[in-house]
Amino acid sequence: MVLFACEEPVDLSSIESESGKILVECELTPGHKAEAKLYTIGDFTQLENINYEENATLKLVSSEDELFFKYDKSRKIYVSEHIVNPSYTYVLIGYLENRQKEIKSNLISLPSAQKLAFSSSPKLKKVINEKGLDQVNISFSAKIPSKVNLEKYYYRIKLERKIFKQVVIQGVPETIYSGKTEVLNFLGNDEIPLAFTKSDSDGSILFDASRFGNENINFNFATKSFLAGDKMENIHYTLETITESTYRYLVSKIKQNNASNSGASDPVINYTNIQNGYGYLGASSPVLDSIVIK
Amino acid sequence: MFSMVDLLSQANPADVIISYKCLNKPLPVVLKELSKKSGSNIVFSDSKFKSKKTVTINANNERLGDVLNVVLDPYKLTIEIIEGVIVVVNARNQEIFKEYTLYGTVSDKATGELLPYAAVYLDDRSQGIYANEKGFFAFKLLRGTYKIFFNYLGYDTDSISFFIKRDSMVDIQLNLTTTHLKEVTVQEDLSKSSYKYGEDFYSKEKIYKASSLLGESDVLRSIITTAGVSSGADGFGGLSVRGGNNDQNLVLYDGVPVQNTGHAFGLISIFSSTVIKDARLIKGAFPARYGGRLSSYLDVKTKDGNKTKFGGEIGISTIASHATIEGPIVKNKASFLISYRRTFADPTIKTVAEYINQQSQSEGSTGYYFQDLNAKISFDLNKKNQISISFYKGSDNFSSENSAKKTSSKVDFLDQNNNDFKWGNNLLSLHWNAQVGKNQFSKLILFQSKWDNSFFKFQRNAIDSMGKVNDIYTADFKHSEFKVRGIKWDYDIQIKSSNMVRFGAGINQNQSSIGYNNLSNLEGFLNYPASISYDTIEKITKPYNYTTSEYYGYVEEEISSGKNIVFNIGVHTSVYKIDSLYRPSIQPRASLSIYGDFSWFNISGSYNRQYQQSLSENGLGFPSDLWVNASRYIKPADGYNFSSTLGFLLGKNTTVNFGGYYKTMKNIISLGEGQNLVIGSNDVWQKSIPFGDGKAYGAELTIANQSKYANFEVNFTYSKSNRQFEDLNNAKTFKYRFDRRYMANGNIEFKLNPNLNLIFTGTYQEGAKVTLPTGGVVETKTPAGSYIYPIYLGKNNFTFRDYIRLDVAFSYVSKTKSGSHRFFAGVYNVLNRKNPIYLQLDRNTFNLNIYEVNQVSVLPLLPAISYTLTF
Repeated sequence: MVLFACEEPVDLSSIESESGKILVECELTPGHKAEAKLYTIGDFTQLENINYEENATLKLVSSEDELFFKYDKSRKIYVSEHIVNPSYTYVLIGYLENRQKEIKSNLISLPSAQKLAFSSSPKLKKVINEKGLDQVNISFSAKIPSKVNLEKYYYRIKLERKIFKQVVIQGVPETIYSGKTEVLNFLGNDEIPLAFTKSDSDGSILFDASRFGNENINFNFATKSFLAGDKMENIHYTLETITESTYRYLVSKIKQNNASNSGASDPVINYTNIQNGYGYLGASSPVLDSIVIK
Repeated sequence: MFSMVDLLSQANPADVIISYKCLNKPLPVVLKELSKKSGSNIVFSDSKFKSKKTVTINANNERLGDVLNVVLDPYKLTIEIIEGVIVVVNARNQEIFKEYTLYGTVSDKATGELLPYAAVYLDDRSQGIYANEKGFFAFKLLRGTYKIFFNYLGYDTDSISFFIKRDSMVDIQLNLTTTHLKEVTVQEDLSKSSYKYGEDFYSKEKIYKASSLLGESDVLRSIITTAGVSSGADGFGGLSVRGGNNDQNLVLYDGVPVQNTGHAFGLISIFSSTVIKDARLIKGAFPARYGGRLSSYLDVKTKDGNKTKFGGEIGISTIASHATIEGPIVKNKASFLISYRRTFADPTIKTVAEYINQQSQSEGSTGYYFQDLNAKISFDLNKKNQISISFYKGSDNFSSENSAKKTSSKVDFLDQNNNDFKWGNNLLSLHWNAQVGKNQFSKLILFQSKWDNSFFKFQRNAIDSMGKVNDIYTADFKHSEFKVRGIKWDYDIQIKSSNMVRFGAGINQNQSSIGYNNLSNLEGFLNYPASISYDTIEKITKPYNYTTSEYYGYVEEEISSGKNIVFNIGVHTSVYKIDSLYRPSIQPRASLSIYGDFSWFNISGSYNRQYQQSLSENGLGFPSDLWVNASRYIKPADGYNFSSTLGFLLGKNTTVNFGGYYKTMKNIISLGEGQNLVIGSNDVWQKSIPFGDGKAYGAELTIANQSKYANFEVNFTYSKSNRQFEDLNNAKTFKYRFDRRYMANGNIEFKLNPNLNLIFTGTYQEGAKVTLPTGGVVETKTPAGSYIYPIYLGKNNFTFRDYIRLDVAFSYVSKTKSGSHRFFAGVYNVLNRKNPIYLQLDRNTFNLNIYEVNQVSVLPLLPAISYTLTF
């Protein structure tokens, strides 16, 4: 029966093609100028090149202000002329010269920055990793202390530490800062594993805190290695409160980058909050803090 | 006909056989005339006959005792035999109001095969029950005279008239209906029973008449034409019952769970029609005795084998042939049945594949076959105890190797595809059915069900452009072994005709061994040679093994009030154990049915839990789907199921049933988006399985008519089914793959003469849903350079063209000395409509930046013939 199989091209006229529409990626950070990537979407059946658009008009509109963007040719991105005001809500509007494909984002407000509230001291455990090297596992549980101005709570976290090494100074071994830092590797969460998504590009972790309700969230990280003479000092972390649009868009993009060409999977459904186009307008508010290692 | 009735004691003057009739005569006169006619001395006192009632009776060749009891009963009198003399005495009150049990079995007269769920009812339909799944029944009656009917679809209705004054046993043997051009009256009670729990019944005859593929009659093809049931195109993709997933249907083959029901990737079911006795599908809320699935129960029963004489069946269809032999081991006590079926299409497939390869300038070979073996032995230890052993083994084997080299504009292209797929079920069970006392039934089953599949696929696309080689190769490997060992005990007590209690318990031990991997040089597996073999990938992928246990029990009570109201209430409980983790569940079930003479109504609800689910790449129910047990990370699925049916009997022959349903599903699983699932030796993979919820609701209308010259049935379904996963489709609700808003099925059978039938079958289903990209973006990825990703803005955002199919078939049956000959000639998909099954998104061989979107349909217009000789 397989031999009777017949393949026919699909009539795609019944679905609205995104081809030719604007794709924009723009994330706002309080106190910074906004940056946006903008290009046009191709017909997915015929893809050859990245279609960067240099002559688009792009602006952030709030009830108080309009922030126009300028194109930076060297970086191939659009940059706003002024900084973003954290107390405003914004809509991103953009169009190409003919204005026929004007895009408009959903309204977003900038979230407030939050620190982790630790419910226990971090636990350190030295183990041998798959390569046979020592590594240190760090686990701790924490909550996000108070509600922020979002219906759901999404975050991006990155933990970094200084790497130390042993040197012999005048015959005496001493531990000194190697001048290098490392981003700690996320080991996952057993309670709701899929609430966390790791970004391979910078080692940061996106997570959806609302899936834990009021429960503590268990975080498990590890050093890549822990060679002789190394030691653990305070761990610095960056916690960004991010909008749902940032979370969803980045998660879908990470999934897409990691997607296998073969094997078992569903296609990655891309997120967008851009009407008549594709991409996202998001926002993040970072905070820097330390985890004290005793 | 009834073979043995032990209604009265033997060897007494009441055993004299007489014929007697009278009209409105006083009782003393009647007694005197009976005494005279029979020659038996009947002693009575005139003082007992104050009543002015008269007697009218017409008895032919009946026992004197029976005649006397009929005559005396209205006067609250009875007889006693005192020293060989018949004495008329007062019937004691406790005897008048005491209930007696009429119990026994209903079976096929020709084969001795017990007939499950046969209807047993009084002539005035004031009381009625159904035999259990083994054909046993127990009927509680007050002392008196009755006429009882016995009915089973496809058999002539039979009846007995008798007077009951003690517990009595009766074995009823029904004859197969042989007269086709016969005025048929729809049995109202059967129609009612069908909708008791949203049940649909499929007799052997109905299965034979259902649309068949390539001449292979198939119970699943019959089922997918039922209202509320859909599947992928051409039966591909298992069953979606009322918007549920394929894995939410518990398929029982002689009580043993079956994980996959498909030969030929699901186009033909594993159930060989020749061995099937009948099948029942429960698609509504479930009674408490069923557990373990959210959407439906399909209970397929096989024949026990002929206990009276040797017989068999040989058959050949366009694709397969089968042979069955059955007969008594000890006449009327023990029987056997063996049946074997195999495709013989291997040489044809090979030849056609070679021809296709020649046309496409490629090299290779293709081979495929399926086979199955059914065996059963049944012993009647005595009248009340039966033991049977049932065995099934089926296997499918598909392999293909294909490579094509092309040159265009000094560029060399190489396409290589190797496939090796194997799958099959092994089932073994031991059944002990016992009638305990007169009104209690015990069923014990020990079973093992093993599902095995292994899939290996290797693909290579190489382009050599002036020495610059772009070589992409991938290998997919899947292997799973899913074994369930279990013991289940059911106990039924017919307390009264109006009250039945069922309870039972069981233990299942589930063992899974799963390996799932894919390798590609794009993913960095550059060390592997450009031809990855099955052995290589199997060694790399160590299977993950885990064992779980399920302990369950239930209690259920069915209470009738008068002849119009039946209430069924119960609870199914289970405890699931994995390692030291226990997951308990309490699942209440309830159903209310109200019957009138020409209408019936049912409303039912149940809460259900499911511990096994399958991971499907495409929701098609392919044999490559992986069954997984609930575990520490994989939660069991739960759901509510509500349904209601309102039915009417129009005239004598037309039934109309209108119903609706609503169901929820919680914690159902899916593959993740973009997930590169690798299942190896630890449980990490379980953490990447997304969970979600589902909801389905709809309305169904079925109209059926039976007449002397034609039967028809048509059904319509309006339905919605959607899913919501936090980790799929950006947490937005999406349509289920088989969310078909409108469906309609119809079949009409013309009885051209007693032996020849012409059958038309038509199906309409709104197209299935698939996910299609709507745009594309090129991005830069280091260090390999730029790469493409398609933009998908919604899951299941594209609807295939509607599924429409019309089949026509002639069925001719003739009986000769050598046996019964059944000829079938038909055309499948007369309209030759290309009904798509799945979507294929491929990169163009010559330019990997170009995607090609094709919908694949499998079955065009297909003529088919088959011949079956039953002897």
